[in-house]
Amino acid sequence: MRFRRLTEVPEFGVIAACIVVFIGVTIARPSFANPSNLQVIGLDLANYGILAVGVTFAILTGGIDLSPGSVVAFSSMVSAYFNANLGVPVWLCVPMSVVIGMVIGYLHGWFVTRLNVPPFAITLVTLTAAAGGALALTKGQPISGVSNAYLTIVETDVLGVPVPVIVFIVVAVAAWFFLERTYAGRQIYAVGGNIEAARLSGIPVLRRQLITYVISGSCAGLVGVLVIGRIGVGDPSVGSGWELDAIAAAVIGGVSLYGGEGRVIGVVAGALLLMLINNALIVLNVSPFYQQVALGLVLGVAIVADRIRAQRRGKPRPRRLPKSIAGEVASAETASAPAGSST
Amino acid sequence: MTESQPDVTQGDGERTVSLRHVAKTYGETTVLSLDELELRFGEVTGLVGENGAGKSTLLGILSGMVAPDPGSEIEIAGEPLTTGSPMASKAAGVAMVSQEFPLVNQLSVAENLCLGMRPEGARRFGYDARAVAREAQRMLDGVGLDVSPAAVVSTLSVPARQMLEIAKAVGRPSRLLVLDEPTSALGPVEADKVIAIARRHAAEGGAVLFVGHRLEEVREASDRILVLRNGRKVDEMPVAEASDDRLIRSMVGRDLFHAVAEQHEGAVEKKVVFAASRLEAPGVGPVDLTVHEGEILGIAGLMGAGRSRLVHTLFGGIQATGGSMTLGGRKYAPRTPKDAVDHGVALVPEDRKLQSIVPGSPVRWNVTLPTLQRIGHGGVFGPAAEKRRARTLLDLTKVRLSAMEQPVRSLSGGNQQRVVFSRWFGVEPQLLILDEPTRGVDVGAKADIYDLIEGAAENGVAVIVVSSELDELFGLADRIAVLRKGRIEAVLDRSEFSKEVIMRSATGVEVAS
Repeated sequence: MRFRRLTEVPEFGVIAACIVVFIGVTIARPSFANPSNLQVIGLDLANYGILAVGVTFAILTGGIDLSPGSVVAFSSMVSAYFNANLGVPVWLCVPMSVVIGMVIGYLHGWFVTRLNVPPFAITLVTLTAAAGGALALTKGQPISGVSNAYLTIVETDVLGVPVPVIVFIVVAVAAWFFLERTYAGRQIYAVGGNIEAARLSGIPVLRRQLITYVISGSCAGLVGVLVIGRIGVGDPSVGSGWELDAIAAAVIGGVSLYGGEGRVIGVVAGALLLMLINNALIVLNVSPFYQQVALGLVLGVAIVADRIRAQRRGKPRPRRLPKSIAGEVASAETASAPAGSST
Repeated sequence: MTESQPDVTQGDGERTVSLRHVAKTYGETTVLSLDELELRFGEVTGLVGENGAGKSTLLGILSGMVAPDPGSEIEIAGEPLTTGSPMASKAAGVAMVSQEFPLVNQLSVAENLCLGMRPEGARRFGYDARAVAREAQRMLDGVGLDVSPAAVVSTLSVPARQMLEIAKAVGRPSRLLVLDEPTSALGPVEADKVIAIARRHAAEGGAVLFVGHRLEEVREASDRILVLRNGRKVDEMPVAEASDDRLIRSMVGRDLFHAVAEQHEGAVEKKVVFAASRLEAPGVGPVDLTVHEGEILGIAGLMGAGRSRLVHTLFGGIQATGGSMTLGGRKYAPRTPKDAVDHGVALVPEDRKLQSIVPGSPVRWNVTLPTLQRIGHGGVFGPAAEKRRARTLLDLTKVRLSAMEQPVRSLSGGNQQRVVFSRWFGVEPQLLILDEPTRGVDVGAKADIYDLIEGAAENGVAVIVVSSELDELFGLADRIAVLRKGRIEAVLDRSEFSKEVIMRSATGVEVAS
């Protein structure tokens, strides 16, 4: 009974999958669970996870953000450029990257809420333009000579946990708190669940939509900082395609692309599952070409599982009915028995 | 109680649509179980029942959208129908007008009407726009709908779309015409048209199944009325025997509906809560209006008279372009619904599914939505406090608390509406505006909702009720304002209530002088 209750939790599937993959691969290749490999997984997870949490906000309102990958490239290149080429101190360049993401996000939100541009379209513009901007800045050349501080951020660890992972945890907890414990968070769900009902309930619908794009953009700017430290240079081609992984992580974690449904815990698990699988394929010496196939399959399974769950939820399930109406159903059943019309 | 009516079932198979052992079960729940049911050609059969009685399932099976359990048999004029296939149902001559309009909003009226068919006399190849337009015009004329075939559907009003949907079904030859609450989106004048269409189809030899929730209309349209309850046919009668009492008793399974309400004693002398003077908005006004403490003001009018517009103007959803409003004696000029809510104005909008509930979210979320700020501090709230608050609010309208964590969409229409009332009682409104508060709510729950409305008025809330059902207004309202073309045509006190006067004011037909 208790187990059944557990399986009702929408995120149960992803979390279980994480555990199964982890244990399975560890048995096959014990080196998978080495602290050094776990740190690599953690660093990847930080990047993708932060993007996934950010993009979740936009998706919850029924929107989408296709730009995070390109914003990572653009903000990290600008940050590196100012630091390495113009000699601006690193303590200014780090927040600069986040602010760039924030401003881009604000523009997305502005276009979506003021001009009613479809989020898909306006963020597609940035997907292309920001990636181009990152390349144009240095004619495609990487920027070396960035401050060691970038690397220090990424390479430091606290009790073996790399700082980026801690950043990710902080972001995830903050997002969880915002969505589950604040008015604005709840109102974001309402906007995605039924925008007209939200408006007629006195919710400032446009402001709620706008803030989600700002959050998504800021998350991308934050990842922009982390990738510089990871690679050691400003790389204009970084981040390409990451937005799709981020969206995939959210969807695998149970976020509905129609908006209004999904929780941070699921998104974190979704991102973790993707990173575990990616890393496992490397550890198991599977050709990198198959990594994309694996990602696609996981996404497919997650979507199908979600639909099946939704369908089951839509139908009456006599066994699990609350006591108060179980009686009615029982009487309806006995009443229909003598008729024997169905079989 | 298994009712068999051998005298009816022995009909001539050639001239009936007959259903035998038609059942539908989901898991272990039986939602429909009919031993025998017959719809005769040349007759309009009315079908009534509460929400959840199995009406929609039955219609779904007839139209092929729902596959019945194995063993179910349907024959149309003696030919067995392949169940569970919309194509087969269509081919067998079942035409269905559903409550949700399956129209392609981006296409024109003509394109919608001729979707999936080639008009007679059209060119063999390519798309013959002229023939399509001609055919569409014929179909529009058939139902007396006055819109251009070239108009894009998304620009049409809801009633016009409903009529279009009917035109689509009636315009093609069919043997069984199924009308699912065809009048629920229509005003009285259009409703009469629909009834005439149903009668005509029967007179031409077709069978008609008329599903309705306004008993008056079902009676007017039908020759015979069937009552469903809990998925079974519990009563069947010729229309002459279909009294309100009998129908309601059969539908609900018990006596209910002890007349809507006792009279309220004159609330007129109490203080004014809300007043509008020379209020104007697009399609509205100028309107002068006052509502007193504890008073229920009814607003009547035909579809398109501007009732919902007026209401949304009061709620800040539509910007007033002129005039002024006061609330509790102070100036009131809401720019957004949020302003209105902050001032203690609540609106239960017309379309529950589109405008008021967040269907996939739990009942708890829906109830606390506009008043989250009353739970915690500084924009933050805790789950325990929210549950407590939700419980208090749901208690006010007697929603069963076990439903608190279920998605709202899993509740019945009546319970959904109670959740919406709970939500707005949480605002502790000075002015409560209700736009068609009992639409899509079954009879039993209706009476409860009337109680809620009266309870609110007794607590001193000023209430505005917009309704298409005059009986509802007669039962509830202290005064009724009649709206026509955005203006108030007449305001009647309780002693002056009369359907005739209201219909005259609403239609603008001059009182004979």
